[in-house]
Amino acid sequence: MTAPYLRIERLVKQFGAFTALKDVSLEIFPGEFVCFLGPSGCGKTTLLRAIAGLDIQTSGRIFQSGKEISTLPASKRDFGIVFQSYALFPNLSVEANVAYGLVSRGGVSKVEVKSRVADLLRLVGMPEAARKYPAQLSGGQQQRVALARALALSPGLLLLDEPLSALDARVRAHLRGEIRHLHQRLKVTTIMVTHDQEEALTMADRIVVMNQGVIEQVGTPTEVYRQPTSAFVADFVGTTNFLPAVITGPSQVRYAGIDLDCELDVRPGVGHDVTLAVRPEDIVVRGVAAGTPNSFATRVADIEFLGSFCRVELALDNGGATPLLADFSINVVRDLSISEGMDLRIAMPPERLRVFPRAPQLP
Amino acid sequence: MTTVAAAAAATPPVLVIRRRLDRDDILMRGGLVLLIVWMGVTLVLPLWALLSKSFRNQNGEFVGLANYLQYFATPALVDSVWNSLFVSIVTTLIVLPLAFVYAYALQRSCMRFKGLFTALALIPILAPSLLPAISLVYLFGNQGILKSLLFGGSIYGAGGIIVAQVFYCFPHALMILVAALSMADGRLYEAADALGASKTRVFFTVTLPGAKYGVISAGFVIFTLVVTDFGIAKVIGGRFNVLATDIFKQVIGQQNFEMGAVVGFVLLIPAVVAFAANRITERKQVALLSARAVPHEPRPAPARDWLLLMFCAVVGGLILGVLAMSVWASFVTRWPYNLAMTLNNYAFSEFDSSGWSAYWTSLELAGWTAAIGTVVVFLGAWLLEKTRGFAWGRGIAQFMAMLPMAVPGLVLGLAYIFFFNARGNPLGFLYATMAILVINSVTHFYTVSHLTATTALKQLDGEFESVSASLKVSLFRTMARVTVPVCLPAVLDVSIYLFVNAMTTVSAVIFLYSTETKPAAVTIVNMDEAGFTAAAAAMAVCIVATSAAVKIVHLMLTRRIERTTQAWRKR
Repeated sequence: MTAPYLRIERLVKQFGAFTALKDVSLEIFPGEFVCFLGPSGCGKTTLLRAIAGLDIQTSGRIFQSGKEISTLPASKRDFGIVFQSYALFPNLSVEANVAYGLVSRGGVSKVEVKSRVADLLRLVGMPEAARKYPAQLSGGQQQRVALARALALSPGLLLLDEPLSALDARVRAHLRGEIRHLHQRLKVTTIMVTHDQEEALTMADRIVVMNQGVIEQVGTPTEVYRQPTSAFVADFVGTTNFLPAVITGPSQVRYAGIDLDCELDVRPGVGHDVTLAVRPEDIVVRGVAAGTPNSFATRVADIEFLGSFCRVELALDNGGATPLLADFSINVVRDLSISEGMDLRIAMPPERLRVFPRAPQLP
Repeated sequence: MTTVAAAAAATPPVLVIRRRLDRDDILMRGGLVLLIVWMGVTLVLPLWALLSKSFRNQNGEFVGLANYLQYFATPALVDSVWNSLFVSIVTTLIVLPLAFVYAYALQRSCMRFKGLFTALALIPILAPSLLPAISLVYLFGNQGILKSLLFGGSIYGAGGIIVAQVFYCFPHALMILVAALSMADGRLYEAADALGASKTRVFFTVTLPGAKYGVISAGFVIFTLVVTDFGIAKVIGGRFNVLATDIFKQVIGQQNFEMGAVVGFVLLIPAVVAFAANRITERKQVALLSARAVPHEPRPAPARDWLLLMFCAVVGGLILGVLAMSVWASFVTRWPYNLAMTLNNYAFSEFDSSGWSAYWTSLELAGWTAAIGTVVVFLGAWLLEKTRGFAWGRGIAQFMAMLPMAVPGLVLGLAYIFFFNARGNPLGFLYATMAILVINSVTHFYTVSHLTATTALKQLDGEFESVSASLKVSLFRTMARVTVPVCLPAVLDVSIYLFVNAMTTVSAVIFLYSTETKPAAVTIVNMDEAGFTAAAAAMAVCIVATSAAVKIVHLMLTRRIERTTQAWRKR
C-alpha cells in the first residue's frame, strides 16, 4: 500500500463550548478523489478548513506528503480551493482572476503567465471568457473560472467546499461529470465537501460520511451504499426501511412475528432489540413462492409513481405502524399487475439485510 | 482500502495547536496595535484627563467629589440639566412623526418628485447648526419679519432652540427611518391583503412593527444630537441655559476648567446612555429580515399619494424657507431698514479679525480631515474585519472605534485641552495647531465613518482572503487590488461625510482653535455674538454652498464610478 498523501491524526476542533470535530483521524492517498459527506453541522467543512489552515484545529496533527503542517498558516500550505460562493474577485477580469496567484510570484514572465492562463481556461472549457468579468458569467461558468484559478499554481491538493451547491440541477449534473473528468486527467488529490449524497456517490473514489463531529464510515461509494456500518449512514445515504426487530438466534431476527435469516454482525445476543435495515430496491417480488427464504405475505397499501420505478407501500397484517417501502421497476409492476389493495408475497434476501443496535431516534 | 487510522490506545495529554503566524498576521496585528495606540492617544487619554480634572481643584489637588457636590448645589447649573432634557425630548417628539411620515412618503408611496424631496430634506446636513438659529432670529427675532406671529412671545429661549433643532435633526432621523422602511418583506403585505386586513390594520400590524427599531434608533439619535449641540443654544437660547452652553461659559467665560470638566462629564452621561440603548436596539434589528424576503413595491393610491405629496411639500418648503432666509439676510444691506442687496456682509475682515482666512482654514481642515480620516478609518475597519485570531486586540479596537459616537464634540474638545495642554505632555507641541483640529475632527466623526466602511467590507465575499492565502498572495495586495476598488463608493461616502462634518462643526473645535487656525463655523459664533448677524449668516451660507458643491461633486463622481465599473458591478 502506498504512503498516504494526507494524514489526519486525532483532530479536535472546538468553538467555545461546542465541539465541531471529535477526535477525527483519516488518511487520504495520492490522486484520490474523496468526498466528505454529511448533513449541515456535521463538521465536514470544519475538517476541510482545518486541512487548509483557514481555521486551525484545537488539537491533533495533519501531515501532507510526509511533512507535518499542523501549525502552518494557510499561506504556507500547498492547496488550491474553490468555494460555494466562487469568491471570484469581481473587479478583475477572468484572465486576471486566474492569473492572480501567478503574477505575484517572481520570475514568471508576462508571456508565460498569459499562456498558462490560456491553458487553464482551455482546461475548464472556457477559452473565450478571458476578457469578461465574473458578473457577466453564469454560475456554472464562474465556478469553472474559480476551478481554473485554484489549479493555477498546480497545487498538490485541491479542496472543493460545496462547489456545486449554488447551481441549478442541470448545470450541477453537468459540472459533476466535468470535475470528475478533470480529476482523472490531472490526478490531483482532491477533497470535496458536499451534503448531496448523489454527488458523493457519483464523483468520489471514497466517501467519508460524517455526523456530529465524528466519522461514521469511510469507504467506496458501493461500500457505503451496500454495507453501511451504522444506521445513520444507512439513513443518510439512500432510502432505507428501518424495522424494529429482536434477535432470536445466531443468524436470525424476528420482525413483526416473522423470523428472518440475516448476517449478524452485532453481538448483543439473543433477546436484544435491534433495528433491521433494508433498502426499498432490495425487496424482491418476482419469483417469490411460499418456500422462498425470508418471504412473507403483505398487502399493497399505496403506489407512488416515480417515473422509472414505483415506490410501493406494503402493509403487514400484524406489522404495527411501520409501513414497508419497496421500489419495483415499472417492468415488475406491469408484469405482476401490482395494484392497490392486492396481496403480494415478498422476500428480503438475507444478504441484503443489515442489523444495527437499536438507535433511540430510529424505530 | 478502508483506513480509518486506529486511535492510539493510550491517550497522551493533548497538545493544543497554535497556528504559526505569517508575515500578514504580524503586519496586521501590528497595525491593530497602532490603531489602538492612536485611539488611546486621541480619545481615551484625553477623556481620562477630563475625568481626573473633574476630581481636582484649581491647584491640581485631588478633592474627590467636591466639584460634583458644588455643581449639584448650584441651582443655575442643575436647571440646565432639566432644560437640556426638556428641549431634547420635545424635539424628539416633534421630529419623529414628521420624519416618519416623510420617510413613509419616500419609501412607501408612489408620490412624485421623490428625488427632489430627498434632496430638500437633506439640506440641513450640509449646514452648520447655527444656520437655522440665525434664520429664526431673522424670521422671529426682535426685528424679525414674522415676529407678529408670536403674539408678543419671544423666539429666544426654549421655543427657538426646539424649532431650530427640529430643522437640524430632521435629516438625521429621516435617513434612519428611510432605511428602516426600506426593509420590508413584500410577502407580509401580500399575506395581509389576502387575509383581507384593512389599510389601517396593515399599517399598525405590519408597517409600524417592522420599522419599530428604526423609530427607536432615530429617537435616540435625535435626543443625543440635541443634548450635545452647542451652536443653536448659543445663538438663539437667550437666557435659557443648557448643558452645552454651560460648558462653554464655565471654560471660556469663567476660566473654571474644573467645573467645565464636571459639566462635560454630566453631558457625557445622557449621550452614553442613549448610545448604549441604541446599540442594543440595533442588534435586535438584525434578525428582523430574512434573506428570502421579497422587496415591497408600493402601489399607487391617488388620495394617499397626493396627501403625502402635500405634506412633503410643506415640510420641504419650510426647510427651504429657513435656508433661504439666511441666504437673503446675508445679502441685505441693513436689516430691516435697508433691504437693498449688497455683498458687504461677505467682506468678513470688517467683522472679524480672521476675515476670509477663517473660510480657507475650514477648507483646509475639512480637506485634511477627509484625507487622513478616510485612510485611518478604512485601514482600521479593514484590519478589524480581516485580522485572524488576536481576539483581545480586535475587541479593544472595536470598542474604541465605537466610543467616539458616545462622546459629544464639546466634551472631546475640552478633553483635548486638558490632555494636550497639560504640562509635560510630549505631544503638547500639537496644541493650537491645525494638526490638533484635524486629529480632533477625525476622532469626533470616527464611529459613523467606521460603520460605513465596515458595512461595505462585510458585503464582500469573506473568502477573498482565504483564496489569497491559498494563492500565496499577501492580504495587503488583495486589499489594494480588490477590496479598495470594490469599496470605492463607500470610501467616497466616508471622505465626504468627514469633509462636510469638519466643515460645519462648531462644538469640538471651539476650544481648540488659535488665532491662526480659527475655522469658519467658529467665526459665525463670534460674529453673531458681536452683533454682526448678517455677516454670520453670510459665513453660514459660504459653508452650506461649499458643502453642497462638494456633495454634488461626490454624486457625480459616484455616478461616474458606477458607469465605468458597470461591467463588473452589475449583477
